[in-house]
Amino acid sequence: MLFKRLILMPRLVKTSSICLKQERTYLAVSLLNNKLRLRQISFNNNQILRFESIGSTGPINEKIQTDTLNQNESNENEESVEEIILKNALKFVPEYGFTTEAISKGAMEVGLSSAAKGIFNNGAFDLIDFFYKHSNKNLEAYLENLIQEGKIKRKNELIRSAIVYRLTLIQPYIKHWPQAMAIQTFIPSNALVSIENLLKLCDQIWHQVGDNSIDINWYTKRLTLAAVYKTTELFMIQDKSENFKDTYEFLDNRLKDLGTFNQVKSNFSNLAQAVNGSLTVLRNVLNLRN
Amino acid sequence: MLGLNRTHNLIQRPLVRYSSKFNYNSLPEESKKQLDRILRVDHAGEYGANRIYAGQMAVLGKTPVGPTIQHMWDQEKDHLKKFEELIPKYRARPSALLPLWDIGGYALGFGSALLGKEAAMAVTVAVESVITEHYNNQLRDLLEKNPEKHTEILEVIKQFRDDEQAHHDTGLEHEAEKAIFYRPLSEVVKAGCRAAVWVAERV
Amino acid sequence: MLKISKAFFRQQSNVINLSIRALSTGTNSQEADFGFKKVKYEEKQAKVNEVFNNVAEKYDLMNDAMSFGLHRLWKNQFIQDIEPTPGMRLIDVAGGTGDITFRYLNYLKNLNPGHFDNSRDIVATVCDINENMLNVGKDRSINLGFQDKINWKVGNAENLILEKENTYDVYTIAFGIRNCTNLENVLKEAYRVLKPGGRFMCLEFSRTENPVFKRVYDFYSFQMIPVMGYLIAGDWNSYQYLVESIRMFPSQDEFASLISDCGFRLVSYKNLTNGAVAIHSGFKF
Repeated sequence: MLFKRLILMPRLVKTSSICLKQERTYLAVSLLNNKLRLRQISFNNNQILRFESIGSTGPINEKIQTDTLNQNESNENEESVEEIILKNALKFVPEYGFTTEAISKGAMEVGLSSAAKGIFNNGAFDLIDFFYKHSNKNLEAYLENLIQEGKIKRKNELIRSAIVYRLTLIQPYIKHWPQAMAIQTFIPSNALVSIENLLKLCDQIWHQVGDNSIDINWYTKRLTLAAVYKTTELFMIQDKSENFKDTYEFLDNRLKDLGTFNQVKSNFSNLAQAVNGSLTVLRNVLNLRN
Repeated sequence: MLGLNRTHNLIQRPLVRYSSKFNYNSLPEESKKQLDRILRVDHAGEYGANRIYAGQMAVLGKTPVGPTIQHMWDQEKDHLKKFEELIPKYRARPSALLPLWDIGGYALGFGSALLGKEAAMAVTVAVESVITEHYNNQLRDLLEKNPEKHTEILEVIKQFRDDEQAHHDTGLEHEAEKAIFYRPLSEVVKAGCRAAVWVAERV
Repeated sequence: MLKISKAFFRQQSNVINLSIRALSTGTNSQEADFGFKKVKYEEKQAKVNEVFNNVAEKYDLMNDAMSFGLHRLWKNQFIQDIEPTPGMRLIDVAGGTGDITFRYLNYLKNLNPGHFDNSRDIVATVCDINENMLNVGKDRSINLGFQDKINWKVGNAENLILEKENTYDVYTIAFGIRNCTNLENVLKEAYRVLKPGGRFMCLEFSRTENPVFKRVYDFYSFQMIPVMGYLIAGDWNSYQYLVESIRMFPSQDEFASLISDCGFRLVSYKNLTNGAVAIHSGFKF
């Protein structure tokens, strides 16, 4: 039933001409200039948000110099335009879903025209990708805090807390998350980026929790964690229980199934044993054992 | 059997948690990718070298040249331990083909030792010369951009390069060049090593 | 996601170039390009006016004939790139007969028919230097039922005096910018009237790199288009001018640098039909 829901999702996805998106060629210099400073300027008791370009000589720069009355009150925050727009767009996701409409509303929120959504070639996926990476960053800070506090020491519990927290970040947008997952999985170019995001998330969690593995365990730990996270996420989007307690129960069961992420003892594979065996025989035959 | 000698799997390494603020996040994106690749290939290289010496010792352990090989092997073990420490610290991904380097290295060491002490030394010389060349390339790449961010790694690689160079010279001292088919053997081993380095950088 | 233009660096060393003359400000040189001919700077506008006076009536028909109907696809792709949303205000400069504007309004109508029919706001402004072209457009708009959503104005792209700054979300100029005397002035005016975050979109003929296609295209342009112009519209010279002005227009990268120099950010272009036509896009931040 879960999968039927996912398969139906693509019809609801409002994306335009995905298959026909031709490559755009960007002018290198103009890309370097996209870091802007967001300044809050007080002007006649009205808060106005204006963009001041760093190091550019565009016409708008001059206008701001004359508009600014009180430069001491300016609040500088260096972020790229894309991040500012997408961060604001997330506020509109509960209403509009993960769509270009949310992005244009986000742009209008910061005082830009809604045409600014054209910056994002992949439309809705850019918003989803940003949300994913932003949530990962939040998780990193949260887990850091948790470890510093020192109340939870066991690895398994830390991992459980990390996954629970990461899922709570999705919960405000749970209504539109199935659609977002569909966009992430069913479009090949997006799928690659999404898998990378997921593996980076798992690597991040393991690194913070403390992982010293330098062999095959490195891979098994991350892949198993990814599987647990993904299945829990899938369970969550169709979970109707109060405060998602069924989801957490599901998560606990999955973690129990995996045991305690034990080290896989690096055993010799059959081939390795055969090779060693034959070499020993050879040595004996040549009478080198002295 | 021989697995029992692989003590580094059985000892419980202490669980060390690296604060995510430590070092890693301050590195530029490019550096992170570069260090990931470098540590992966170096770790795989030391792992392989370790197994080569193990193979050689298995045959030549009781001969007069045994202690020399043992000494070189001990140094390689130290190198390996260092990389095993650096990989989690820099959040690098270890090579997925470690079992391959394991078997390949052991077979190479064992096989060359069977051909005689000179052949074993010849293989040592070939492998060490490729590794020295490889470390020099890495040092060059690291010094190109932001050398101040990579001080630790630069130190480590410089030190190890000097050690490998010493191994190379030791091998020559022990009459490597007198081995039968020295030239072809050396070239084949060098080519194989270079290919392995290329693969380990990626997989 | 992004491919940085390598030709940007090639362009730096390309000093002796015909198109540099096209980019130079009018006040420094007394001449402007009118196709392959050189005319006095002040005269170019009048000459262009004359051309369009002659072609206005049969403009749409000739477009179809010359491009074999491809111009419809190009314009559709152009609007698809903009992705209009309700509330976005458009200024279509050198919009003449209103092709782009009508497509824009149709897109909005299909997106949300109820909302579109009920709202009484002016959605688009069409500006053209030639009144004949505007009249043809006005008649068409009445047929389509868009008359109260469009504002028709006579104006010069290089000096939109009637427009206040920071008022429009999207500025489009389709197949019009090569007729302007000074590209920089047009771009600066575009920058002025756009809101912060607004988008500049330009659909224009451009240079093709593909050698096989180039030969076919050149043959077709110089040998067949003026002939068709004479047979269908009765005017050889105007279409000779058309073809020549296409060749004199800067290349994709040069034009993109110019757009960037005038203050636009995230400048990019997309080639259609092997580079015969290019859509340039820039944002005002």
